[in-house]
Amino acid sequence: MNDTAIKKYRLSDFILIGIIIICAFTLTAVFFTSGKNELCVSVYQANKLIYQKALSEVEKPYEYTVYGDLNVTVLIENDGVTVISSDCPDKLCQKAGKLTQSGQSSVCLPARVSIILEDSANATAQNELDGIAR
Amino acid sequence: MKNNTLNPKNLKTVQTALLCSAAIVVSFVESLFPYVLPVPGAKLGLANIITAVAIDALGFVPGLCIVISKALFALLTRGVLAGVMSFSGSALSMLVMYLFIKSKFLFGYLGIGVSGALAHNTGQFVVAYFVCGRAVIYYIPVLLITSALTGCVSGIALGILSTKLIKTMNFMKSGAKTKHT
Repeated sequence: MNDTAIKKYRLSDFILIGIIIICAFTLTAVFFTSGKNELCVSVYQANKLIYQKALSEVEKPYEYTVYGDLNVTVLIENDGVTVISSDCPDKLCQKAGKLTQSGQSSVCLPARVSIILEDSANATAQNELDGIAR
Repeated sequence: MKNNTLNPKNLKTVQTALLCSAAIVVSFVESLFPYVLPVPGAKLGLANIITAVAIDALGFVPGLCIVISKALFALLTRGVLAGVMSFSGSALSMLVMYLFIKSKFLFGYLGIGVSGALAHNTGQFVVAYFVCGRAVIYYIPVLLITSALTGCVSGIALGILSTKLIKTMNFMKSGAKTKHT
């Protein structure tokens, strides 16, 4: 009665995988080739923008600490941003390393802190949207 | 061997419990190897195989039991956020795999594994989006690629395992029935 067993592989499986990979590459292309504006770092805590800085305005590297239940310290340099310390247990945000390109981000879920590097035009547009939403 | 007779309903409960413990053990052992893939936070999601086998052989409710017990385990050992993320991911992936397993002609086991992994990542992504905001959007391409890869692994393993496991479990069932009647 249960003879119509599921096959191991079907053509539709490979089509699904193909679609996923194409979507991934398309999204990557959209995220990483959006103009050649200057880079801008945005720090969010609990979904709110708490700090924003254009990297071109950074002369000397400095540290910025987000205080909360778990503190996260970010090193902001002229050419990139690095999470250098975090109180969270898994340290995934530190393992993301130095962010240097538009569209890269480092997220610390336990601390609810996220650091995004993006085009400044993109960043300001998003903030206006957020302003309307509020 | 008269005492060995087992009501089919009890057998189903026992099998569900066995698969629950198997899923927890698999996901725990998997978490001991933090970097199978060079992506922070990515796991192979081998417990999805167990969930799929449970849905295939036992049905919807046993699958849900596995999801809940896994989420409880994550909640107790790794905290509230991990529990919520585990539940959202595996519940969504269970629903998707249930649909595709029941509609037998849409996908093979490979496609079921891939769609399960994709749904798992989607469920976790939604929670991460609410916790962290839009920074995680940039992570979508990475998630898509990893879910394709890990889904392939679990899908192939599922194809190899499920026919054998389901045969064994059905054998146990038929044995139980004949002994019971």
